Amino acid sequence: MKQVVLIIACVVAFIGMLVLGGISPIEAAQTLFTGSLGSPRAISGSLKETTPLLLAGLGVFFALRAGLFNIGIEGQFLLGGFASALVALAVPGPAGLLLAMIAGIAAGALWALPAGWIRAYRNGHEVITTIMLNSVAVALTDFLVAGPARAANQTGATTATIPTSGRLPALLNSPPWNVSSGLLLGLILCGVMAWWMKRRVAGYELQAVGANPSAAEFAGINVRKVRLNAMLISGAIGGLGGAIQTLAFEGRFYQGFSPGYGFDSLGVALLAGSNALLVVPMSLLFGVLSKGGTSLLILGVPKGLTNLVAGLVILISATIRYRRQAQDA
Amino acid sequence: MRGISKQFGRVQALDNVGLTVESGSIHGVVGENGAGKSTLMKVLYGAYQADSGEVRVNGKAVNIRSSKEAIALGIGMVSQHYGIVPELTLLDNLILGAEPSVVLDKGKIRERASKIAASIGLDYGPEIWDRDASAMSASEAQRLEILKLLWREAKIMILDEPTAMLSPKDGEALFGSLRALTKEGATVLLVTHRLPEIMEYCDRVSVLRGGKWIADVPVSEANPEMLSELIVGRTLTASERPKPIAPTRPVLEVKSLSVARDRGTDAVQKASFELSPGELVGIAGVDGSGQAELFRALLGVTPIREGEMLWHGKDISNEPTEKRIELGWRILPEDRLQEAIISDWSLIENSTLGLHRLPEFSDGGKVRLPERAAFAQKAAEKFGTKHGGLETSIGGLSGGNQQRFVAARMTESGPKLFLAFQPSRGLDIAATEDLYAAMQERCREGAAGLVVSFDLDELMAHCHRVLVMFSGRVVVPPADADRDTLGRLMVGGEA
Amino acid sequence: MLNTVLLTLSMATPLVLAAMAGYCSERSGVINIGLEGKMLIAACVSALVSISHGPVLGVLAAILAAIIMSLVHWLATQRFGIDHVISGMSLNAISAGATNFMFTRFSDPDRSGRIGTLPPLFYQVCAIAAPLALLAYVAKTRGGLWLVAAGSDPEKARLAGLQPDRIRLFALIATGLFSGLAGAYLVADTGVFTDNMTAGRGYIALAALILGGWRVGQTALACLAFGFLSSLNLLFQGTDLVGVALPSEFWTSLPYLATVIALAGFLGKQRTPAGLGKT
Repeated sequence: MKQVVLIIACVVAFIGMLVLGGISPIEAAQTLFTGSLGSPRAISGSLKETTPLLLAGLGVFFALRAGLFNIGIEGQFLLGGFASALVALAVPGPAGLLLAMIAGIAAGALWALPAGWIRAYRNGHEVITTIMLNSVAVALTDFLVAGPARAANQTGATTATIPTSGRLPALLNSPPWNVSSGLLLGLILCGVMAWWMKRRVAGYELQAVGANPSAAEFAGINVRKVRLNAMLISGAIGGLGGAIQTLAFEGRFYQGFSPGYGFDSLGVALLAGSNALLVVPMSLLFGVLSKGGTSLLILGVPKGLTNLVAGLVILISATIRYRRQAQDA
Repeated sequence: MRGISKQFGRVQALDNVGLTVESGSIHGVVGENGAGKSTLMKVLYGAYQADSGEVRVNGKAVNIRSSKEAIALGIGMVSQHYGIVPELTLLDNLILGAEPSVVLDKGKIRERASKIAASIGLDYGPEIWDRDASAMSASEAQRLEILKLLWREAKIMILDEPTAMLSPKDGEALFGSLRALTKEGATVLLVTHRLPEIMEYCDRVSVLRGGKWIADVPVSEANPEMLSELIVGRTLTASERPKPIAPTRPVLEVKSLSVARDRGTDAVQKASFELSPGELVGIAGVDGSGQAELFRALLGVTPIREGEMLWHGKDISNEPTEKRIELGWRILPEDRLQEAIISDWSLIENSTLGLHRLPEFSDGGKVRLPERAAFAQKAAEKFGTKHGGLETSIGGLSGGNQQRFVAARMTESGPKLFLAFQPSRGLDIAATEDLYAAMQERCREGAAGLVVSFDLDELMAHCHRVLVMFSGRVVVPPADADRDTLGRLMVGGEA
Repeated sequence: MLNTVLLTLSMATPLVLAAMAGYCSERSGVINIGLEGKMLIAACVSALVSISHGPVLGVLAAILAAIIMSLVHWLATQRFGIDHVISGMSLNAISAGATNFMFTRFSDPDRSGRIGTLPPLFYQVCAIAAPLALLAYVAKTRGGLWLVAAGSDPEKARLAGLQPDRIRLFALIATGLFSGLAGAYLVADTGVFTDNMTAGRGYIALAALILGGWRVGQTALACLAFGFLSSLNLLFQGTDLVGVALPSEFWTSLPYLATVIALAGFLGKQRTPAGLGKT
């Protein structure tokens, strides 16, 4: 119910902005629809946009259930994408693919480590540390890909391209359809996470810490350890997202690798609320908006519009959640 | 103050209470927890509005609608938890909310502040005024609170349990300066549960019990025995209290356990006692005597400063909470919403909070869902928790029903040792009896239990033994201690 | 040498203004990660209004826009009880989107050349005056005392008869004022508005505030240091400083790294206002 209200609010906000900008909403809606869902190619494109949002969204969601707001997902995504590109280029073939995924996961977790440790043991706000670490991640990968890791024959700041044998295979590849197995990995992870949260004692403890840390302490749960682990796993998932982006779609790492997946995934996770399975439809919504938004560029609708709407939706969703709590009390 | 009445919901906190205080005196107000002392003082300070009644200051009827108006009338209050903002300097704290002007002339302010300090015998130079308030000790904070009253030119000063966090020596100094102030025309209202303070420093004392005015006597005509009788009252129920059981090899031994507080004296001071198997032991005492801190330390949620705890002779002082739960320790914490439940979660999910790692509910890290649901069912039935389905969130239940549920979680999960803090809170008499019956049942099966309550009669009616906590210390009364003796111990008297 | 000093000052100007904006907000107890967004909106509005109505109105409109954003943050956090971080984050996204949208839709694509603005010197004077004014305000006035009290312990401030909500309202208006100036300066300095032109300056200002321990003087010094770093970076790009060529990304990362280290408690006692984020 709440989700429906949000989607409506989102659409209304979108149309409002269009009218303000002097564009016919009907024309825009048509373009948005055809651009995102109107053809097999468009649908494939939307699913491609959905994949990184789904993975990064799951990463944010995981930390959020432990009461931590991992804004750093952008940095973890970047580092994961970069590390996996390096490994995949160094080790060819399927073995390299596997190692590249592991490298991505490890890089993401490593990038989340300072934030998790400072939150758990130094009581420093994870939001501030991850904001700072995001900026460092951008600078670090920009530097590496422009310098030491740049492909020899390239003028732009990019790594070399990973050969097909070292990439994630497509799940379905009969043009115009093209769906990557990365999406499947994301869906599996989502299912596993939903199961884990419900059925595993560790999932129970994680959510207890997120819901009421002092009660969790009385229940014998090591709150600090749970917080640190939650942040590490969240970062690992973000890193996996980056690895899949490299290995399934981009085939390389370059400056500007993430056009803001990190931020959109915050919206995905916040809208999903307490149910991991809802991360799927929410990432799909953002994926469709993002793909459709690209088509809107032709109409002269600036790309900032989707950002604007995402921000509004998050603010509205937070307000609705507060209203509900106020009624409970 | 005449005929003051105040209701909170269905609870009659004050029932036609009157209080007359002579100017220039120190007037004590005593009573048990919930007797209405603090409520009465808050009415006077404008923090609460009385439902009926009249307040006269210097013979003039006044209507105090807010603390601001009270301050304007020269009434000031120091609450039990100091109102000092830690990041400001002493001087800033002194004037906060009562600044003389928009632009502050610190030099002038400091001058006046030092003059005020001097009037109660404190030599405060500029270097003291510019210190950070967070670095103050409890007694310095208390002094600053008094100075704040003087800065506001309060003529009537209300002090709520001012010595709760002070050492005896600092307490003495405080009363010394209060004495000096009354000589200059100030009037002091002292809310306390410490009878020695009343006997030594007050001119008159008023006794409240259960929201009613009981007595008003000059201290010169009072003695501690008489006062503690007035405070606790005589109850007619000749209690058929359980017979003490012969001490055997103790299951739990607590040896000179101390727990530190953020500032000031230790919250628990060298507590030592033992529990024998099958024993249900009560801890009597007024609220804030260190019971909550003792329980937190026993469960391992708060670190201890010194001392040790032995479980079947083995030192477990350094074991984490998780390990103690595994040993069969269960707790019913003080603060239900913050410490005992997760409001958004269902009754089923809440039923195993703290028990979730026990093999009954965890199969190698997997939640045993059927067992958990069955336990939730059992816990809800035990004391008749009224709920709209075990899947609904526990936050939607009334406080009493939440209490029934978490109490059952403690008694029905095979406890070896249980720590129950105010177990009857929110329960009616029948449910209270059921709960104590269940605890006694567990004890007959060999468990040991420790119950904190502010209601002495409740403990005396149900426990094998009653210990007393008073300002952080655990007193083990003589075996034949009667109600009056325990009552005296609770307020710092002698056995 | 003089070159470096001038460049440092010009680099530090928006940082100081934005950090003072953050100071007002966070000292009153409102977490503000939305400085970036407020600056960006202000920059965009100042560019648009300066073109159509001249530089003076341009600055005023920029300040007004930043104040409006600030007030939304106040409403969200103090009235609707939304998490301060979520509100700030959303406002940043809304700003990024809105400025991109506004500027592409409403500016004249055929226009070229510098936008007429107030001289950068005006802002530089503001950037020097702002910390001095705040220092005096906090040390010498009733309002300053209230500001710090509301951020340190709102509950106890209430006991003393203060109204933390209202104090925070005024603090956030001041935040709008300073971040509006900071944003407008970026346009005055470069003569154009470009997409995402704040480029993380809002976050660097936040970093300076944390490194400065939420104290005016130290925060301003941290801003100067960061300004100095950026000017070195510009002046010595590509040249060897000490035998090793440090990449420019190293210099840009330095403020952020320093902040993380400070938060880890390696740079002495943490001085976060105790009432930050509390009601």
